[in-house]
Amino acid sequence: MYKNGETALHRILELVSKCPKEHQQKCFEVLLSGYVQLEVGASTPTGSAAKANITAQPQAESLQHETHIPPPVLSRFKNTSKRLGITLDKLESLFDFSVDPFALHPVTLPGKNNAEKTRQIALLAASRSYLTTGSWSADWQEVKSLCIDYNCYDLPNHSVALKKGGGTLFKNVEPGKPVELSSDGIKEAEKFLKNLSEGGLA
Amino acid sequence: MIPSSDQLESFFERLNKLDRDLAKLKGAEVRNIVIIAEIKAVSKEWLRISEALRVAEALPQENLNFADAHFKELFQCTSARTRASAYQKKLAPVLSSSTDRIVVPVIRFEGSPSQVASRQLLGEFVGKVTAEENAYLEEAARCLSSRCNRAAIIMLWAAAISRIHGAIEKLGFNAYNEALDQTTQKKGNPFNRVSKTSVTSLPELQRCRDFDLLVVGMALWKYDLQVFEELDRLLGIRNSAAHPGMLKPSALDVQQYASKVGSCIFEVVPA
Repeated sequence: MYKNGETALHRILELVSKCPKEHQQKCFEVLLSGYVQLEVGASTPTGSAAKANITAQPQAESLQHETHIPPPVLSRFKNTSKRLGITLDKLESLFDFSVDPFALHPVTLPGKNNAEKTRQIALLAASRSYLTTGSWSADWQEVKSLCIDYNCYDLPNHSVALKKGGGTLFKNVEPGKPVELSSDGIKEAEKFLKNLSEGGLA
Repeated sequence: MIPSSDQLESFFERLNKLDRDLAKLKGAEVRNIVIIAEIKAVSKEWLRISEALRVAEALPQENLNFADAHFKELFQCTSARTRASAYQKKLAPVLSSSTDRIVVPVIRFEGSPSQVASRQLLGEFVGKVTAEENAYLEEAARCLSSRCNRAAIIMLWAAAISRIHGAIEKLGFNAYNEALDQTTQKKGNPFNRVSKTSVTSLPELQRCRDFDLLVVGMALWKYDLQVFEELDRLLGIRNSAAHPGMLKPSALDVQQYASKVGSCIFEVVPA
């Protein structure tokens, strides 16, 4: 770059001197910027490598800039989205990362009654727990709080709904203790997460 | 200790039962000692619950003041001849608004992501820690739930060092001094950075640098250089959290720190 800079500058000044005085400054700027562009253009890589660079760089940058997923859990989000066959954006859209720690965005629960909705909430809470800590267990109090938000908290039947209708979804349901998901429960939670991310948002 | 929403629900269920018992008296003067004792007991119980909720700032103060006033009146009535209907009149406003004013705010408070994170932090160490270490961890969890993330990191490290001190005390200071000698005889980093300070008591051990304990730990508990390096990184984070600077750990960072402390200290150094 700028191999013959001195000669080029002399040539530019020569040309500038031929211009009327009032246009000399503008002329100098135009010629110099033209020379600089020519030199910079010549030094950029050409061919497929250059093309790959041009396309890959913005992609990597946009991925870094667009995602709001905190770095400590990003790899778990990526793996989960890959496993579920959905894009990272869709999985990300289920959660609110503007709060610390991140929370669930409101979704439309497809459950027919309070008991079914309560179980779906437990699956959602367990999914959030998995993405945060790697453990598929729903915090008892978080489930209750979400049930209040979704208007499906039924005090006398809350734990019964989780115990009875759960079938093989949960390993254990004890009031006050985390609700651990069984392997069937994990499959169901992943399926539920996939369905929600593919258009279940409220 | 903050009362849980489950405890509150059973408390208000108890109150409902008391109301049903009073209704059976059909407005007559309450002379039954058992019922009067129950009225006194629930009033005192509420004052304990109210105080704990007030400290935790789990719900608006006016909600607590409202309930406090009614329970205070209820308790005062027990020292006079009072009809069942009068007791019921004082109970009615509390019972009708208990769910909206007290139970629901507490459920929302304890189900908030920061409270969940603090319980998850404690969950990392279940069955791995002693009562003394657990006290530090509980403080770390409280810091995390109050969004004091740097303080939480410091308390987690305090729990880790408490484990190391306890383990050295169990092994005996002679064993520690021997391991220290072995370590200082080795050449190169990090062995040449260990200060040769032998110890004969816990206070002396408490004055030792954490870094030295981590290096000597390789000889005592046979963990390798990679585990040491991870521990040294954790010590670095702890130091950054404890000194002025721009470190701003998130709740997730604290949870990750807790998980590493759990696996590198509590699963490696025996209690």
